[in-house]
Amino acid sequence: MSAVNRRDFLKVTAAVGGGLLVTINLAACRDRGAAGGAKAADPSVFVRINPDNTIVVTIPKSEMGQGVRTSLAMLVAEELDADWNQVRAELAYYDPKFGDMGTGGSSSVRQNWMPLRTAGATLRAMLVATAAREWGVDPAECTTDNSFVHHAKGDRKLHYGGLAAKAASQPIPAGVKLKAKSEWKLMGKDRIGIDVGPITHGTAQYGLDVKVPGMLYASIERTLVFGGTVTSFDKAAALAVPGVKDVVEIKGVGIGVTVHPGVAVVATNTWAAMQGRKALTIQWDAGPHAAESSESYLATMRAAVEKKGDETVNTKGDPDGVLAKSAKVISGVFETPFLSHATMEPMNCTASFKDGQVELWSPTQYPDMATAEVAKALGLKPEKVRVNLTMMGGGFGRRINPDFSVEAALVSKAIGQPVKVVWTREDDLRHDFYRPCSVHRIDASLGADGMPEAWRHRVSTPSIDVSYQEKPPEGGWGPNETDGSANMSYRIPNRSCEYTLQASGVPRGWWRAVSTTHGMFAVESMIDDLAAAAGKDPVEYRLAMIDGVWWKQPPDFPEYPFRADRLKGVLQLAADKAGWGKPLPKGHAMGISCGYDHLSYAAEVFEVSVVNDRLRIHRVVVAADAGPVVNPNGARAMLEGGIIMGLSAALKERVTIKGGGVAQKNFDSYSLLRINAAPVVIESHFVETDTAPTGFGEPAVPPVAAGLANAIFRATGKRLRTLPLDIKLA
Amino acid sequence: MEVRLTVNGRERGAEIDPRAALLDLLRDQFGLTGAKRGCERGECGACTVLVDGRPTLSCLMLAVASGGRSVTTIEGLAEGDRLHPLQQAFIDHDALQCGFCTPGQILAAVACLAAGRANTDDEVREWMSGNLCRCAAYPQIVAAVRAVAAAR
Amino acid sequence: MKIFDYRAANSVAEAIAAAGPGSAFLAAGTEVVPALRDGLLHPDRLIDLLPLGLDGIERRDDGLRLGGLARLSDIASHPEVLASAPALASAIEQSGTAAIRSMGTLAGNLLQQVRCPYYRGAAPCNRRAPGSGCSVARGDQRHAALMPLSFHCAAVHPSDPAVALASLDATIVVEGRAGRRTLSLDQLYPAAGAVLGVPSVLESGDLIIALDLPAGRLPGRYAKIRDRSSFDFALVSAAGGLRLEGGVVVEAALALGGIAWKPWRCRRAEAMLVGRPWSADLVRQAVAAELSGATPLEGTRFKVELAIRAAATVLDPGGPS
Repeated sequence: MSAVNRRDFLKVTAAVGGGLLVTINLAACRDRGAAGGAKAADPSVFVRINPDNTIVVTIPKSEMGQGVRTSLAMLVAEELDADWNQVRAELAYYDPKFGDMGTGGSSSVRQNWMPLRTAGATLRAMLVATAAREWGVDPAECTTDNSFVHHAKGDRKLHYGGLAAKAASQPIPAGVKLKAKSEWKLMGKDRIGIDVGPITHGTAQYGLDVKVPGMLYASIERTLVFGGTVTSFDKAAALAVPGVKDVVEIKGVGIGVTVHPGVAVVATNTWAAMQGRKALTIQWDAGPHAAESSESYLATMRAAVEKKGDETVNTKGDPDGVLAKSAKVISGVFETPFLSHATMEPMNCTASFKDGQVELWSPTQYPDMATAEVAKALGLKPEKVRVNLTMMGGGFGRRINPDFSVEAALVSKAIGQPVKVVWTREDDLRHDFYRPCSVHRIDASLGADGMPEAWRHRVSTPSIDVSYQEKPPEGGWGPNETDGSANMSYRIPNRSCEYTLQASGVPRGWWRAVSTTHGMFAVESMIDDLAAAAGKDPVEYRLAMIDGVWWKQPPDFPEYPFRADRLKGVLQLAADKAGWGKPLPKGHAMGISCGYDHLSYAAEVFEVSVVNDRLRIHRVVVAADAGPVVNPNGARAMLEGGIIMGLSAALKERVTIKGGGVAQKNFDSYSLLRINAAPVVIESHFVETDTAPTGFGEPAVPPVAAGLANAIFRATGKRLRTLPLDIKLA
Repeated sequence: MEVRLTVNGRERGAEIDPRAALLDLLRDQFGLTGAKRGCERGECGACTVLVDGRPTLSCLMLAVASGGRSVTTIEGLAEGDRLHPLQQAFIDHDALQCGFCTPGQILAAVACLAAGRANTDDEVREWMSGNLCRCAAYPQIVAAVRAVAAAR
Repeated sequence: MKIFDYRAANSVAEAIAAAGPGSAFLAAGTEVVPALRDGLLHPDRLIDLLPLGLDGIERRDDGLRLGGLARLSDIASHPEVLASAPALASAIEQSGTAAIRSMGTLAGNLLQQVRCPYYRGAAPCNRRAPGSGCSVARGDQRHAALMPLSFHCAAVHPSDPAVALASLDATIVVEGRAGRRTLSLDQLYPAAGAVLGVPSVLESGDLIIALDLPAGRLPGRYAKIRDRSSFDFALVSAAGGLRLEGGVVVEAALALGGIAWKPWRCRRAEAMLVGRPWSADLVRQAVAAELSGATPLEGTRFKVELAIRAAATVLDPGGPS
């Protein structure tokens, strides 16, 4: 298939204790950073072959349930022809040599596709060369399988573990050949997650389970009004609680980090810290956002989409002119709330500050950012900060933020002792970085053939970027916020997307699939309305309009251009597998939606019925294309999990802002879809376009809300345009 | 206060504040971190353990009230090297993603089977509805529990 | 949370003797522990009743006796209960979660506090802070009572089993300082118009040691209408059943939940049903008549229709038994 021809790609050395240690220069072959363009000086990742034949891959990405430790280890093991049962995955710590360790955007397999497979293939070649020399035969006569090198003629075989030490002194071959998909032994077949053992034994160590010698526990009372500050506090009652050791004020850290001002109570155990915290008396200054509420945002966003947006994200033809002249304009206003990530493991971090250095054990998705921000907040050089990754109880984008890491480092520095800062569920729900609320208005008109002639999409949200930077990115706040809106892939001769920024004190962040979660809800609902107005089948209607995109591709990913045939492919497959258009049981109806998210394609069909205003979801069919599938089992888990999380948001989840803070406290008021309400049948199908793979973590989420709303529309004639949908589950 | 109880077959004692929960005792004092702190309101099920065989939300039980009782946590479910059938089924069905809720799910499932309430998918879905899984490995969880029920 | 003195009770007498001003009983903790954390309860002394046992379920000549500390799940799966009081088993199965049913005791369930969001929040609430007012009048009324206790409190009793027990004519055996007495379920809860809503009329030192289900009652069914499909409190529920002879109702029992501060036994509706030929319309009229005395808040009017629907489910002679 493809060959990598870079001699400086790998460094191989003998490992301590025997075996062989491989350093892979990721910068040399990561799909993004071209040589010299990578921000890190020597990005690298380690593979270790031990004398006992175990193979340890250090995973430079965060595991939060998406199966990255399994799929990345598979990339190495496949090309290495390793015995999968002997492959182990190791947690990494932050080091610039690992390259970009940020885990998000469904990017892990995409970024590591070439480097890790090339590492495996190169190692394999070296092991073969070593064995061949030992036997005095031509390496071309040798084969590999299950961590053995075989010499067929001589009926001889040697174990990788025994060869590793000698292999380390071999020259590193250039131009190794990677396997064609037809040659895969491990990949493309179902693999169970590499960590299921420790998890089912209860021994897997999450951030919350970390214990370091001399560690204290802290619980922090943070301002409940975003932007509030501590005026004064009385710590006497807290200090009187048995077990409480110290009480320290946390000054806020502003934009880009968002550590909330508050008071930390440090104690010998979690429980005492929480009791001490309750005993605090704090005077707050509510700050500038105390009057803000979900209603106030809604009012201004609704007004904003009634007029021209402050930014024109893109425009083609003359949508305003065509709409003004159109006899019939079809309009829809779509509203979505703030959402919380609600990871099962609440935020937490353990930090140990000593002698001008700080070590952290952090369940972070982005150790790069955590390191930089901890260094900045403590006034240290980044090399004085060590961030160890832990297992994570879910991420979904929440753990990209460095706030919890910085907080722990600040507390540890203040008390001069190791400390674990434990967040309660209430803390977690009320101090999240929320998926922004939004209002969308789409106005469209149809031509004589029933196809849309004009489409004007106005969006207003509190932008995510505002929580991280003071000045808008190049091109304004709009482009990132209108992912899924401005770049929707339907061919309409006159179309535009406008954006108006909503001011808000609520911290915003990246929630699984980010802006497409609301943009695609509006677009895919509206397309269905237009199909209905035109009297056309929603699948045919979409297929006729999906087209090459006309806007500029994001400059980051020229290697992954949008391809209309791939979106059409998943749409057609989902419709076919669902039996679209075939007779359904009485009272059942299907709805469909599709979209392009994080460089992958997904289409979903929902079969529902509505009886006595109660919704039943009988079946969900999803088809997705992220290129070749490394681990079908893991990919299916991502699709199913994404759909259920999407359904949870579509039917239940809403963060309400009152008095500048979050009204919900726990799962009783921020309710998630439970197992009894999850759809019984989710069928996942793949289109494996022969191209470099992208990712499955996010693309299943954004089509859900519209697909479900479209099904409800077809079952009841009622168009629901506000999330969560105003319908109860049976 | 002093409390003495049996944890995973072993007698243990600890000095504990009467207001602390069994979950605090298990995690902070005994180092058994398999039971997870997820909500502390009995809403998520991540802290589920067995007390005298009963599925129990250890965040809602006072540690002092566990005196004289027998507590089984995920760490004590296997018999030596032999996994409990549900642990094995969760592995075989990959019934987890991040795994944070898994110990609670498995112990709730043990109780579900013991109660004889795993006869249909719907029964399992209803019985297990106190245990949240944000990653939503729900289809696989149902499959794992049903597989063990079918093998009995 | 204030520090308290924890005592494990070794006998009923000891438990009663240990009780006093500032004390509270503890059973499973599913109700008490969150209340302690939320500052809704702040006892000086917590008396743990679980060591008492009192969790038997036994058949007697005159009916079934359920221990006050019998666990909800044990009741729901007990063959005698399933045979003679399926409405109770069903009500339990539809309440809480498996773990909460497995931990929770019958007496604890009957004595739980209201789930009104204002009681659990910071807004004015006469129950939490007497005299502060009731926020329901101008607030969220979806879970409020159709028939409020009084001007001062519009919360509903959240228990499912209590509704079934009301339809089954359960009596409550209370042991207290003055000895043993029995109460009807109706007597357990305050009388209409009471100024403030304590959960029950029991006083410090009163202990529910058992519930008696008299023999010969209609086994009944339980129907619950709620927003979430699981793990949610009822908007409206109904327990009860009827017996027909030649199409004529000869016996009827009906209790409604989610409409008042106590389970609402529908004596008036029952009287209207008995002696008349059964029809869906008759059930509707009877339930409507039962609720005609209500002066509902605007946001609770929808419950009349839900109550009729729930009652129709349990009073449908063709329905599943």
